[in-house]
Amino acid sequence: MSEHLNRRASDRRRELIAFRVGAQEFCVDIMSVREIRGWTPATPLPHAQKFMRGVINLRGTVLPIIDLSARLGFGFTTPEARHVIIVVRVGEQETGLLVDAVCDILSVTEDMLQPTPNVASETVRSFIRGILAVEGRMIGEIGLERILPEKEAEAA
Amino acid sequence: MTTKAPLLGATGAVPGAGPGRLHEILGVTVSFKNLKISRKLAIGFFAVIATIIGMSAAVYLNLQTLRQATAEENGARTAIDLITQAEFKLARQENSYRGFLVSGDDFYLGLLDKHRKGFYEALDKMKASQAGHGNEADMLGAIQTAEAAMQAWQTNIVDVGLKYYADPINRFRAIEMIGQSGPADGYMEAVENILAGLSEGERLELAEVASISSRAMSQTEMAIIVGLALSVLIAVALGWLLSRMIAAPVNALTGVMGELASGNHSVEVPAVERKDEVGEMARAVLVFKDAAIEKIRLEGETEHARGTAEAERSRNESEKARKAEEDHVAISALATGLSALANGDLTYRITDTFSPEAQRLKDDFNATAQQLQDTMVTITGAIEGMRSGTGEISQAADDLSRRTEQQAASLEETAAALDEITATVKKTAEGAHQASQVTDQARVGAEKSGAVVREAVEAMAQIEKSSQQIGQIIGVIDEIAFQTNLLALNAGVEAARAGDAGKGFAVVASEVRALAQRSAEAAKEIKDLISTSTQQVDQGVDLVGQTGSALEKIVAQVGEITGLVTEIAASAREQSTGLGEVNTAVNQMDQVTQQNAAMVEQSTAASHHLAQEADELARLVSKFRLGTQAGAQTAPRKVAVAANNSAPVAAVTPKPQSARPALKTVSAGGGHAAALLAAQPQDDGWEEF
Repeated sequence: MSEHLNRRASDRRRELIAFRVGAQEFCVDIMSVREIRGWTPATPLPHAQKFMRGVINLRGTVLPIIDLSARLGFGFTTPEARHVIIVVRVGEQETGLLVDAVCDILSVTEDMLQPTPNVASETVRSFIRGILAVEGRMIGEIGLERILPEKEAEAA
Repeated sequence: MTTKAPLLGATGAVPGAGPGRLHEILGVTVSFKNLKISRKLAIGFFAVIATIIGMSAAVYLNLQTLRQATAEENGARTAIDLITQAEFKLARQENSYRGFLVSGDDFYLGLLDKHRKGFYEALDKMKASQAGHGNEADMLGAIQTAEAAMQAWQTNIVDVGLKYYADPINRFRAIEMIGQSGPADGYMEAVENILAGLSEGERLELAEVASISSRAMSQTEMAIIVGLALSVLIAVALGWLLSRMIAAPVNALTGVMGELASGNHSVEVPAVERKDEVGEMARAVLVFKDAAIEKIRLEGETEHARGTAEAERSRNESEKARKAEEDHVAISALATGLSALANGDLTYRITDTFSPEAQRLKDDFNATAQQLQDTMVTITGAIEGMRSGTGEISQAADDLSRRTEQQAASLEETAAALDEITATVKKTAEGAHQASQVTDQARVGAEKSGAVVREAVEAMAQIEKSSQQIGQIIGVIDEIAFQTNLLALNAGVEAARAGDAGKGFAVVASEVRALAQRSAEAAKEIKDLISTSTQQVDQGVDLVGQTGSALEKIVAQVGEITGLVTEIAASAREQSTGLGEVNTAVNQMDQVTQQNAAMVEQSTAASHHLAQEADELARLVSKFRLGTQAGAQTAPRKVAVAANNSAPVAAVTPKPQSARPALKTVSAGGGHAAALLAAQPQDDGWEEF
């Protein structure tokens, strides 16, 4: 729906949730976010991939938690009380992303989002849909489709 | 009656004994003459005393006889009294019985019994009094007969009469019994006769005893008269005998002694052959007589010796006159020589010719003059030496006086300085005492500070605790801010999802988010501040702890300081005491030096006086003429010294001149005086000093 709105009017504003992973700042479209909550210890799953922290009970639903830092290749996070889980919806699947902190809600126009440079590999472009450069900050928009393991497995 | 024979015997023996003994004494009169006078007197007195003893014995025996007679007389009188009493009782019995018969009253029967008892009692007493009497048996027989007769009267008259009287019919019989023809009178008469006989016997005995008494009295009188007459006779005879044997020879001796005293030595001494005291006296008078004869012989010899001595004396007179002439010559020559000596001329000698006896006088005079001359020459030399010596002494005494004064002045200064030092030390002691008190106070203050530091540490700990609590609260606030932020984000997400309808809500959410972020930031800042302050508090605690330990060290060091200061105070006090003693000693030294100075001045004056005396002595000696050296004798002192002893004086006279500067340098300089002295031209001055 937002894609639709963006395509129609380039000056249409969209809203993004900006967050921090390590020293980097990333963001996702606010419409894909279902909920933001504090860290809850996750129950690990056997033979899961390294970035899979496990699952948590979210109001009766089993929610898989992905260590975004590990997923993006920055190393494992040691989760604490001040870490944040961003519950996102990708297709029909809801997933929790473990991030260091939520920075703010950005309201941007479509043209402010610059495409990922061509020099980057396809893998990078699939993970980073575009880069937002505002107020001296460099914020990459995460491509949520690639983040999920199923998608990765399909892509592989 | 039995005592009569010995009594007469005793009275007869006394007159016969006295004359017999006297005859015996006269018979031994030759041997009696040779007895000592005391023995003669003793024999005389013994004779008189023996006579008196004999007389006394006769008197005593007669007195015994008298006493016995008196006792017998008393017994007879008692018996007569008792017989009379019995007769009276007898009459009363009869009377009482008749009274009863007349009146019939029983009262008279009582009287009858009573008088009968009285009658028997009198007879019993009589029996008792006759015990041991010569005619006891006769008396007792008579008394028993009387009693029997009495009993018969009682039985035959009274008892029978009473029976009759009881019966009124026969009553007249009882009365008849005592009538003129009755038998009663017969019984009564028997008793009365016996009693009368007894009474008569006793009266006879009384008469006999009276005759014995009168005889004994006359014998006693006779014995006393005869004894006294004998005693007087013996005393007179012995007196005549003793005066004849003692007084006559003593009178003869007295006459002989009177003759001897008046110079009659031819008289004969009597009674020399006697052996008693008179004989001894006569022998002593004989010795006197012989001594007087010897004395007359010696007086004749002495008279002869006196005549011989008179002739000798007249011969000596002429010899004396010749000698007096010779002595006159010698004496006049000696007088001339002695007057020359008196005038001080010691060179005079005697040249006259003397007699051989007086030659020795001349030689001795000349030798004496020579000796005197030599001695005076020697004395003159000695006086010169003495004068120079006294000069030196007075000079030295002057120097000594001056130096003693300087010493006294120095000692006074020393004493003053010591007083100041004593005061300073006293102040020091007081200061040390105050310092000790101040350090004590400092120690107390430091201990208090230690307590304050401990309290500060505790307060710091409290602050730390409070900070921790604040940190916890801040944590809670931070958590709240975090959760709020999340809630605001969720709200923002929901608002975005709501599209245009949620725009207002999104603004609110963003505002809430901003608030949450600001509170989170504020909480973070507070947390930083709290952690900083906690660190600082830690540092503060550390520093305060260090301060505490530093204060403890200070307390310990202040304690040490207090001890040291106390020791200083004690030693300062001791110093003060010691200095007080030193001060006393210096004051005593000062006094002693003052006394020394006074004494030195006295000795200086004395030495000056001595020098004057030496001059006077030299002047006096110079009056003598001593022969060869006569020319220099009257010169003044300095010249005389120079002339007589030139060698010693040359060494002595410069001394005072060189000694004076040496003294000055010593008293002024002290240490470098030796160096100054080395520059002196003469070393004599230093040796003198």
